[in-house]
Amino acid sequence: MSSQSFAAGPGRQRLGQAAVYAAVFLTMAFFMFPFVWMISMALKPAGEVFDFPPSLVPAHPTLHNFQSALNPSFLRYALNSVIVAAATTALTIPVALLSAYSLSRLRFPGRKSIMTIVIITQLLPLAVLVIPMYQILADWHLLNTYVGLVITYLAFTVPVSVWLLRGFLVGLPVELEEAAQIDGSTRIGAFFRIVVPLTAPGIAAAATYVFFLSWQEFLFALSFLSGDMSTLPIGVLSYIGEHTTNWGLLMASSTLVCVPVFVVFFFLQRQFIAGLVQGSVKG
Amino acid sequence: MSASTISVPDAASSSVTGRIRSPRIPARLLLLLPAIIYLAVLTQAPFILTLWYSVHKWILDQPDLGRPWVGIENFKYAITQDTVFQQAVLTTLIITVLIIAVSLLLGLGFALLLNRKFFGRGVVRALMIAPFFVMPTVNAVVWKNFFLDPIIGLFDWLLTSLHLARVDFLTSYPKLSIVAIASWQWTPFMMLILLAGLQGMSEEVREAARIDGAAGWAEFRHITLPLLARYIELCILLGTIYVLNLFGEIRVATQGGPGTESTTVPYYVYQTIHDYNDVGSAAALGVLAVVFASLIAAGLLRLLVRTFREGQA
Repeated sequence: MSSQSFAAGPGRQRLGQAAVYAAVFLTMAFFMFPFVWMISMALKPAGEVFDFPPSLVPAHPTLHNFQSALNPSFLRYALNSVIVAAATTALTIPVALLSAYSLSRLRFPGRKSIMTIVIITQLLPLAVLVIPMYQILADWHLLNTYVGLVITYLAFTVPVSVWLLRGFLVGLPVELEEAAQIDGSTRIGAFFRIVVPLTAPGIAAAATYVFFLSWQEFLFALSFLSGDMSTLPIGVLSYIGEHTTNWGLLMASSTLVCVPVFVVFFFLQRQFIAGLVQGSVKG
Repeated sequence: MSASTISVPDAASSSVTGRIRSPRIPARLLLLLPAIIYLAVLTQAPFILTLWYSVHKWILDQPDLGRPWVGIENFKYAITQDTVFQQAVLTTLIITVLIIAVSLLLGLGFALLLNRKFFGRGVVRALMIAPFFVMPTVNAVVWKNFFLDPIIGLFDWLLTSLHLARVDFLTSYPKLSIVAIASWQWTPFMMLILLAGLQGMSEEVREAARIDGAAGWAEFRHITLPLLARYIELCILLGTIYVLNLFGEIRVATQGGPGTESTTVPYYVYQTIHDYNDVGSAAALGVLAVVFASLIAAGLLRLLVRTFREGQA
């Protein structure tokens, strides 16, 4: 698994190991700094936020910001976010799996160009889509509803998921399904008993990614939702006022927003990376 | 790497079973066609609507004008006369290439580092991805107000402590500031993908290379890098899709300024709709952005392929 290319000799090896630790520590500091800063700000009382020179460790740490961050409207935003992200994920995966399955199994002219077109149109600046989507949603009376936002999200979560899942399905021999059918399974039975379990790592990766994308999405949520229906990214930014900003509150809520996705990822990281890489690198 | 264990080369098997399989294709078509149609409608409908708007003049706050057909007028204006757009294209190119290059290089360095065995590697790796989970807008808020601010920012404190002149980063170097903010967020993502590539590499290949006398840089250049090519491709593709659409960071940190210096194509599209209410022009700009973006992505990938061909030769 690893790649020690240090020349032989125990002394040099120990020196090398020390250098690795030092480098790892510096790297950690680089990556974690703004993140730690966010948490540090969240723990500072209001008077300390703009102390100069800036200090990383709060002089009088307090949980006050977190307490006020967990107010009823934040919890409502959190509920909205969970509903939207979960529904988007739950709808994206079956649609993407079926589409990817057909793209990998069917042989018809233009099969390859479909995938290329689907990916290329993902390069459209999302800002352009706000107007057509607003019109469609207004016509269907879906503005300011969960359904409306989820439909919008599907337009960009499905293509990426199809792309990720296709790589898995291409590598899956058709013979496995045919064997199951000979053994008496229906085609649909074979799909659920053979294809779905063997694609599980890819499904997990795609689901994590989709959840993350919809959890963070900003522009559409800003344009199509308002008031009580807002999701967390919008709700949190409302703490930035035109003239005054409650920094402690903003940082505490921002920390609370990224904690759930971070925790999920912490436990799923191996599957997520394997799935992401495997599917797309193979395809 | 579970799927690799069950994968069988496609060509070897299909020739045997191809004859048996073919009669079933119509049934399959019936079953699977809805999925493809749904995919096409869902993902392409907004794009086709955009195309439709782009050939019309449509200004939201002037409803009495209607929505007359103007043909390629919007495109012609954008390409030949709209200097802000032309500048935005260049800015987008610079910012995108820099962000991807910086995060890819840093990511590669950190991936090589994390590929070594050391105590607590799993935890370190998980913690390092943290930046990717901070909302981009919040990330930009933190950078703008606590790090880059010319009066109370951390960088300012560092500079003045070293008796150097104060720098207003967001005003003097708006593009580089955006690059710094976004690279910080994207480096961990690149690192994770490249690390997966490194860990999937068989030790035998390296062993063989070492016996043949390749070590250090040569091993990296001729063995590691070519084997990572597909992972780097994946990084570039995913990175390009999202970095080209970079929006929140610019909205929060610079609002495209000073002047139009950090205005990118997506941000200009947003301004065209939001500030000028000009849907037709914005749609045309969006379509041009797609063309432009696929050219950048294709260019980057071609460059990459050429680099690796040389590496393997």
